[in-house]
Amino acid sequence: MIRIHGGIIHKISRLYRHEEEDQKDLFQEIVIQVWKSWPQYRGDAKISTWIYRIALNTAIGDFRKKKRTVETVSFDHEPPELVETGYDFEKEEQLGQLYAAIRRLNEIDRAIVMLYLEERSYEEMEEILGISQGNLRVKMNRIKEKLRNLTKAAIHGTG
Amino acid sequence: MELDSLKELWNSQATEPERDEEYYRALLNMRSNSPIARMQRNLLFELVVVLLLYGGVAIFYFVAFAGVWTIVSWIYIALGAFYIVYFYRKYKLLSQMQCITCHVKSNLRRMIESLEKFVRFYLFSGTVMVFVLFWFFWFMLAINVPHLGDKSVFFPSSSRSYWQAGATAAFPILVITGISHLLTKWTINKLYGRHIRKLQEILSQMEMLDS
Repeated sequence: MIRIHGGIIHKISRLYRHEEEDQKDLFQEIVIQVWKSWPQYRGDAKISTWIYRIALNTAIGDFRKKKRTVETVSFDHEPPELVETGYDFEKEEQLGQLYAAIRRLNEIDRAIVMLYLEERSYEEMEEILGISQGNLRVKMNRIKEKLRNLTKAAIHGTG
Repeated sequence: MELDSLKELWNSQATEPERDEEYYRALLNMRSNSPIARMQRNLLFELVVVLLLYGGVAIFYFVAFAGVWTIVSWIYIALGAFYIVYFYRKYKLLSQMQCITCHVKSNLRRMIESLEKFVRFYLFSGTVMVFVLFWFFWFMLAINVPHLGDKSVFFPSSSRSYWQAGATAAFPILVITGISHLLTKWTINKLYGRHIRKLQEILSQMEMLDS
């Protein structure tokens, strides 16, 4: 189950932690929490919804002091084998910029943007976040605008 | 970049590299490092240390001084019992602090409420413990050390009743309790204040969106 949905955990770890080490720690913590909570899963929500909740609760609820880091996009972590197998540097650069832009939003807007990019329905967003669908719909335009501006600023190196 | 192309870019990213079962098995064998798990581990460690320490002192005063100071042993046993209740309450609060499978908003609310309750309990029990401990020791010295009242106004003597001496001793005990209360409050604020404020900030972001 974790192998199938590992992508969700990976994305949330990358979105909520900047340093690679912190991302690994968060990934590990989420996997442990999913594993520990598994006996409580009753099937009343989609498994992906359930994993999003655990992952976001773990990422947001970890109130330890994070290392102070300068928000930069790092490109020196690519494993060498990816270079040999036609690794798309341009795409990874754009993704890095996208992550950096989203990380500049507050914790909740970050979660909403991620769920929007993941093409989750408003109903599922409500189940994950606990914010009513009506309010999400109303606020979504403002959040989309923010995202548009942030990505524009990231690409043009401003803001 | 338009939002549709952002979506396309987002969904085209490589997911987690394929890991074998060994990798996940190793991961699951590691212990949780969540703040709550660490607080629970620290609390267990504290319990073991306190029980060993208090137990040791209690045994020592039972055996040493030909049993004259067995009252000290009983005081430590009483303190140990009090500590077990304190530990149980704190551990229970920590266990209820998070509902990891609930939606984010209700989990945040629960965390803030439990953390505030935890902090109030910490402050209250810490203050009460100091107050009770000082009166215990005062009483023990008043009973067991003869002629102490001749040297100190805080203890009873032939010319000073228990009530008079107690009223005099109440002042320094209350001052010490007050100082300890402020120190505990400062420590708690240092340990948990920032976390509570951060969680409250996130919850208010959610409430603003949901209003």
